[in-house]
Amino acid sequence: MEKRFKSIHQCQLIYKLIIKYLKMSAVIQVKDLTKTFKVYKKQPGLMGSLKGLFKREHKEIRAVDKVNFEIGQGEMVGFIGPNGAGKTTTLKMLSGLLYPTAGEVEVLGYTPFERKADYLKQISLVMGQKNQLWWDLPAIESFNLNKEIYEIPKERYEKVLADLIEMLDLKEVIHQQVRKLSLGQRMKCELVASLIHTPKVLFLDEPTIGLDIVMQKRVRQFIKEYNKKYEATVILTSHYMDDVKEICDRVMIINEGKLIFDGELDSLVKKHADYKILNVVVNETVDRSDLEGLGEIVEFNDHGFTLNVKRPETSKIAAAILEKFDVDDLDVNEPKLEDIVSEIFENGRTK
Amino acid sequence: MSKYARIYKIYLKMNLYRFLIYRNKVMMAFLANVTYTITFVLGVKFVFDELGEVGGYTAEIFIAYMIMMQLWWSIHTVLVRKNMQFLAKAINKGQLDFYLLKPVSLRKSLPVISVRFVDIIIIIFDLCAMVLLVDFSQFDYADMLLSVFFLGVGVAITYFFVSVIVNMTFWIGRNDFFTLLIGELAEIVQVPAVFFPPVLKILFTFFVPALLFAGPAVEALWRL
Repeated sequence: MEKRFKSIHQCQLIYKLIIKYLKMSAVIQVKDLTKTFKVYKKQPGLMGSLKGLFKREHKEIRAVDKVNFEIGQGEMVGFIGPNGAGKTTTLKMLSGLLYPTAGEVEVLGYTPFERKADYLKQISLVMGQKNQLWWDLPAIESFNLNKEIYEIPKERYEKVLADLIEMLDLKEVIHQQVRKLSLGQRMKCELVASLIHTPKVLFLDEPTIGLDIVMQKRVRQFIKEYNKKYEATVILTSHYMDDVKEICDRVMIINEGKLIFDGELDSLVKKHADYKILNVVVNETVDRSDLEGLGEIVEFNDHGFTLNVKRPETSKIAAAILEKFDVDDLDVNEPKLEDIVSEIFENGRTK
Repeated sequence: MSKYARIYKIYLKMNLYRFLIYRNKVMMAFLANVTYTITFVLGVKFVFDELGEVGGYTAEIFIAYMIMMQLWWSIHTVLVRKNMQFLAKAINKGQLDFYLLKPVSLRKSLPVISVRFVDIIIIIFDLCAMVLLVDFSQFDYADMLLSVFFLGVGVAITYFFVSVIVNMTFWIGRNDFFTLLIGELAEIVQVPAVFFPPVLKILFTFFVPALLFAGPAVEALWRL
């Protein structure tokens, strides 16, 4: 009886592991992905322009340089980098808009640049700076157009549309002309148009750009809800670290075409910042010299100070400060993601 | 209904809605066309009352030629010009991304993505003007079919040229000059071939076939 129980238990464990593996099997696989562009190098001045009529110099730019990664189903990945790093180029190769110069790319088992109809029905690219809605017509007309283009059955279309409208609070807005909507409303309608066919993979290229803080939060919340409800894989590029912090568990950092970090957000902070930040508010006057040996002074004024302290010594130094000074408030924070990423970009640039 | 039939239907519906939203603009475009036609017809009648006939062309044939040119231009605008302008603009502004990522052929949907319904109304007006101003009892069915065929050939010739020019946008960027070329050629051939000297007749028939846009459609009716 016991032996049978043990083997049933083992079978259950194996079954759970298989299910977990299937769920996490790679939806996106990229191997040595490279993209180079040839650009015309114009010489300065009028003579340079005239010379360019007859003989042109070209420069080869490696926008994406041997990038490797895999993304599983349902993962939400932030793809960040400075301007010109290769983020949008990578996204365009994954969606099928650009042909890679070298390397392999596979999304949902398809080769993206073949742009097969079955593949395109399962993906969506949302670009924060571009709009697919018909300007002069209410947004609902563009949704109906996408229904026909993606061959969505009527019942499913109505259900998904109702869901998306409720999630984004768009009931009052979808029958107004798009050109009369605010930027935030237009972006929300844009999201509906892009997701009406419930794609399995979402490529979001700066979806919150230009939106106010409230709308940014709303869009982030929506993306998380959508991912939870429809188990979509999400790849997001953004210059707003809050987008990455709130939406993504995993982040990839690209700089000058090369992938320089790929891992969880927490490990990014721990790997690249060996310090924590102590903010202290005091009830007494403190001399700067009293802080020697405690950590790097970042800020100092009559009411308190901020120190960067080595991670392993945080508790010890916090205790020392509480003992030494009349402390009103003390909090320990992780370094700002923006600062860490900025430092990575700078180090990447100087290398 | 097949997939593309449904897509054509919805694109045409959306273009129709867009047309109905801007009533004043539509009315002005239509009135401008009506005014032009009436003025031209009166002008031709006045000139030909004095001249009688020029190179086999009577007032009636000349008016038919003018209306046929307008018909060709309106059909060209509906089926070719507006859609190709849309494509050129999308290439220049980087807006082609959305269309390339849709699971439908851009080439097959292009004829209906951007349709100006005012041009369809102008086509109907031109057809009515043709029926009112030309005595169709003098033609047999074969002549009329041949005329329609040549009109189709005229539209096909412009489709060929414009699509080559627009596809060049991928390499040379902006090419507004070339897309305006068809309009400029249409201005040159406002008068029939009989009014051109032989050299220009050859040039505009065999090298830049502007005289083939609408001329043969009229010549087929009167067997000129």
